[in-house]
Amino acid sequence: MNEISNQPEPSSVRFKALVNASFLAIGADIFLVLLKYFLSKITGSALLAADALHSGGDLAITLTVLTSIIVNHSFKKNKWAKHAEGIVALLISFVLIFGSFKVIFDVFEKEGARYSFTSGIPLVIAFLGISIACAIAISMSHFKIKVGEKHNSIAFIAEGMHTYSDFFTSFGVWLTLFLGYFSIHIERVMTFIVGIFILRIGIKILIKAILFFNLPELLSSYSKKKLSKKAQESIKEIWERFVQIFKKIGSTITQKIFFPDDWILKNKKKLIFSNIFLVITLYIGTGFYNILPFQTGVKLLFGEVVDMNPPGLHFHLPKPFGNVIKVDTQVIARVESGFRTNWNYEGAEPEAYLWEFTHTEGRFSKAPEEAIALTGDENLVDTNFICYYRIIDPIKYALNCENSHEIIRSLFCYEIHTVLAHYNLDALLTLDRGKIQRELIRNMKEEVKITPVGVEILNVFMREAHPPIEVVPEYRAVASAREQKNEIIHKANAYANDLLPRSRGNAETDILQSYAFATEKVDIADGKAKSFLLKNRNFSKYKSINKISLWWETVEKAFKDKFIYILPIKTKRRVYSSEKKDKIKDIKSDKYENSLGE
Amino acid sequence: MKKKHIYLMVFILVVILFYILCTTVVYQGRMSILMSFGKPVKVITNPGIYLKFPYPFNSVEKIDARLNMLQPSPSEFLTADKKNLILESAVCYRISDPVLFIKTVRNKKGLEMRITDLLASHTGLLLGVKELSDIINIDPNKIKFRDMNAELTKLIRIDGKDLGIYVSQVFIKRVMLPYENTLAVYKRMRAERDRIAKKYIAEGEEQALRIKAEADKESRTIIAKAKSKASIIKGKAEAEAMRIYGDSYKKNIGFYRYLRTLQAYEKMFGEKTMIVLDEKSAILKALFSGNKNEKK
Repeated sequence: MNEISNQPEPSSVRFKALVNASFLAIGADIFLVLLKYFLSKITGSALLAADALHSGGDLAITLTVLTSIIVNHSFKKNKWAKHAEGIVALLISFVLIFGSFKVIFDVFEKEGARYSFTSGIPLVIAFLGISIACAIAISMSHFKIKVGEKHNSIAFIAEGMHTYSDFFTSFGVWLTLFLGYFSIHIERVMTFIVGIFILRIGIKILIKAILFFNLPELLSSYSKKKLSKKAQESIKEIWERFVQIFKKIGSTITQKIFFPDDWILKNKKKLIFSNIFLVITLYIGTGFYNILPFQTGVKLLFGEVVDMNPPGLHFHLPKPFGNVIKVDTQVIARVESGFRTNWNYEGAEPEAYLWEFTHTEGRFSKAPEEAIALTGDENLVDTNFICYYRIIDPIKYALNCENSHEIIRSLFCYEIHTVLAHYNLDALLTLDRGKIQRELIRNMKEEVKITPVGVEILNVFMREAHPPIEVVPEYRAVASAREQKNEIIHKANAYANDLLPRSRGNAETDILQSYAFATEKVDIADGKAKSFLLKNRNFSKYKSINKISLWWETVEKAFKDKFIYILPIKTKRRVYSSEKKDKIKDIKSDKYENSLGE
Repeated sequence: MKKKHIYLMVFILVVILFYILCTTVVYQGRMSILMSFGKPVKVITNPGIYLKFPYPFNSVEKIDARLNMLQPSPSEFLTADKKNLILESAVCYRISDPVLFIKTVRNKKGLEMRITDLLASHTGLLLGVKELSDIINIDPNKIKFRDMNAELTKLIRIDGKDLGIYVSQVFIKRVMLPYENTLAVYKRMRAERDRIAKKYIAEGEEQALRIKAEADKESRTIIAKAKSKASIIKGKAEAEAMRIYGDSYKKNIGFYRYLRTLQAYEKMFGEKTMIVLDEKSAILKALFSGNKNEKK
């Protein structure tokens, strides 16, 4: 580093030279800032924006240096004027440190779009623009340092150093764009590095600005009371010590930790070549790729298939010359029709997947336009099918078809709807499921032969088949009706089972009662007959007596407790009926008597 | 920087620019049309790297020649028997003549428009002469749906030739009913299920009635048989009783008649019977003249 004189010699030649150089530098800086800003806008890149800020810092430095030179030259009698340069440097350092923090912290934001270039014309323009910026930066840097050294201006030398770092950041951006063209993305890293560079410049200028002020001199010239010599000496001693410590800290930070200026200047070539070497190595490194156990790699050179890679480590010429397409050939893929599986679903599962489950949320979501199909008997059915396939021709699958999976899905959907169109609903739901699956496998195998998508059909499953949700209650009602039918029949059987034993019992009772009656009847008859015969034997012997006896016994019994009316002879004879008193009937007493008499 | 390095850098830049500007790479499954001021000069169909003049002398139009699928929106059609159907079709094709393709339809969007028109027209034509039973039928032999798809493929393929594409397959992937008809089908399905449910219940009741009637019949038969048997038993017993009575009473009919009469008196006069006797009645006479007779 050059020794910096604290008191620049004021001369009109120096002033003119510095002002002219400043105007040139300002022009160049404005151009660089605008160019980089424009490039950052068309590419939308944060890296170019950070680089624009870096150049903006350069512009600010140049502007402030110009101001300080003018102030220093025109207002040299003002006490403050000679410190203007230091004050300006201090302000610039603050702006740069703040800007560097912004750039560095923005690198860690999650939004990645600002850190990836879109290939195409903007990238080419940015590439050319940055090349020009590099050239301008390096020439301006040399120019500024030379002018600064010639006219012994600390500000100009610092500015030159800053512009030199501007060249490095621009070169970094150039490399990043170059790699970006080959799909190697280091934008984030490079933005971070540019941020560090801005910070480094900020710190360096800050330290130099602080050292620019000579504190003991300031104190002696601005204090109203004159200080004693002893006091002045002690202050000077303390300040020198402080300066030494501060210089050490400053040199440690700027010379050792962050890319020391001397080292950069000494090893320019090495730096450039090592960067180039690193880039080339990285670029070639992108040609290595890994094929996983379930994959096959289709190796391309200038778009043409040159090789098929089994699992393992392989190499192709880096992009854009070579490329590889990895195809999952060993994985059994599945195509779903009527529904889609949400593999990331982690919520609760229902107790059972019932027919009326709408599948609006959860592990499976319905694809109603595929699920509802017309059956042969003009009914509608809700079905879910799965087709398993494996890729057998990766070139056909990945390179000759735009979206093989979707083509297979469409073919599958077509086959399902075609096959279901000749089954009747009831058979489809129950008996013919296996038949339908077999037919679908056969047809799908034929379909992938006609449409070359490079796969082989392994299996087809009917995962679900049920009537549409709208008619499910009626289907359930049929099952209920079947149960109801059985219930009615069981009840009738119960009635029969109740009735028949009772009837048999009653019949038995009747018969037994009739037997009882018969026995009773015969026995009574027997008894009565025997009694008659016994009576008859003695009746005949004493006929008249017995006759009287029996007659009177009977009369006694018959007349006992009865109302007996005896009518006088001359009374008109009438018999009153007990029920109808108005009807009177004459009875001839003789007849009556006779009947009694007998 | 030494001159040597500057030359090297310039050389590298030139090489890169040459690669970018003067070559074109055709990938597997793609085609390129090399154009000179908008006029097609060469069609590159094989993959590889090709030389060209830089823009604007030569420009390259890259064409995706992979097997592609177009799925126009579903449309509604009418069958010969006036049934409305919504058909969703898919067309598998690949670009075979890129120049013709560019000339006629410009891009995929233009192709989609043309194919949609063609599909609608041909499908309407083919479906208009078919009945619903040709598309869905329980008898697979009566279905002409696959033939229809094949015919559609043939027609679209012929038209596709004029657009620079080869149509490998056209298929109607879904046959659906319009919303209102779907509702009607649901209604019919419900009615059908209702019919089946009612049939089940009626069958149950039929069987139940039969079971009950049979039980009743059997029950009454059992009882009738029992009654008949009981009557016979009773009749036999009564006959036997009659015989016994006859055998004994016939020995003195007069006595029997006398006894039976007396029994009849006993039974005939109940508790509330009022007896009116004439002064001259035999009973009174007998009662009051019993002693006289003895004296006689």
